[in-house]
Amino acid sequence: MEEFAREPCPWRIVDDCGGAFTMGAIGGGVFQAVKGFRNAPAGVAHRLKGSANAVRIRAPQIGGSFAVWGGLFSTIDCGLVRLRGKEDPWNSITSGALTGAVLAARSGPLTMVGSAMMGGILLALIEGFGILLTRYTAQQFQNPMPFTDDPSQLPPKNV
Amino acid sequence: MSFTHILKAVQQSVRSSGKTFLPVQQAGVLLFTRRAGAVIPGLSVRGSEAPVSALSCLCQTRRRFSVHVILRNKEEKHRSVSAYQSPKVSSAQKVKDAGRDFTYLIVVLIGLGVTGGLLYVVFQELFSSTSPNKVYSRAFDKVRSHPEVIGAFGEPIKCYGETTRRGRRQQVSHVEYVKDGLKHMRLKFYIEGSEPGLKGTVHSESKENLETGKYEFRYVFVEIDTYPRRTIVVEDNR
Repeated sequence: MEEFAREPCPWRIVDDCGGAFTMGAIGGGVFQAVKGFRNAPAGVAHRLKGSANAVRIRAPQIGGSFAVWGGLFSTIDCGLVRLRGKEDPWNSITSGALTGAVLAARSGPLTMVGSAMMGGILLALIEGFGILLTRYTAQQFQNPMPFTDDPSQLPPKNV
Repeated sequence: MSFTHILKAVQQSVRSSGKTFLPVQQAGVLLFTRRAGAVIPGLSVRGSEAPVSALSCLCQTRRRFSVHVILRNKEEKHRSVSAYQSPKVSSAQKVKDAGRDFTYLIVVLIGLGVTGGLLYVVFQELFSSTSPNKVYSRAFDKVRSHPEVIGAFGEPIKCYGETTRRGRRQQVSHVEYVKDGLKHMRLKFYIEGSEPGLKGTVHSESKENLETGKYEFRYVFVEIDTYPRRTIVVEDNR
């Protein structure tokens, strides 16, 4: 119950930042481990060493850039929720695009537009996935339940 | 002397590679420069009787040629290493390449299909007037402009759906069902106003209008969840 009572918004930024860092560090770690292994000189010892080295150097960087993305995204998302007073998929998509644009701000307007589109599309995909997931789970849960035919008892009956 | 052998080899290589950018005597001279280990003398020998442009051309071709000779020598040393493969591809290799390309094509197509499907779902959700999201947005507009709701909750009213584990509240819980051949949709979402600690649940049901194909509200009402419980009926078209 406490969970529902609390407003998610300002805290979510920290949450998302950390989540994104973890995701980036672990995912990037795996990726870099494979890459380091393949790029190292021959010999198992060399390869393991190269792999460990690549992970040590690159994984925190990747995690960091993920964290920047996640934190900025969540900040903009919360700002939009605050401004619009409404929570719907538009918030995510807009903030994804804005995050892309802001993070590419140093490379000129054209790159900003491209990056914004990438961010928007990416977030739209994620939202689509979320919508599909909720639909699917909703179907699973609600189909067997017999639907109450009458409108709920709370509104006063027909005026 | 082995020099003549090498010269022959060079000739052969020139002939076999089919490139006629160099007459053979030049190659001989160049080979000589290679053997002498110095580049300038050979050049000056040629250059003394050639104009400058020819010299520079020679200079370029010479470099290409010497590389060729080195490769050839290598080839003779280790037969197994084939350095200058002809671009002919065996049919087995072609089949292999085609198979790989086909696999990549399938992967790309699957990716495009999944992306397209997800984008379709999102656009349907955002723009189709019968999607839960649109109905939610219309219901909220009705609730927000209702004077009694404003009086109870306080002016900036915000709305949200079900809270997920990750603190997202964008999904609105809804049920769609068919009654009497008409599609119905029930929505449930939550509102909060500026009054602290006051929360409301909005229930709404909408029915499809057969003529326009759009959803029309059957009822929208707000239930205040905190202690003095009451319901505010925003719209009742039953």
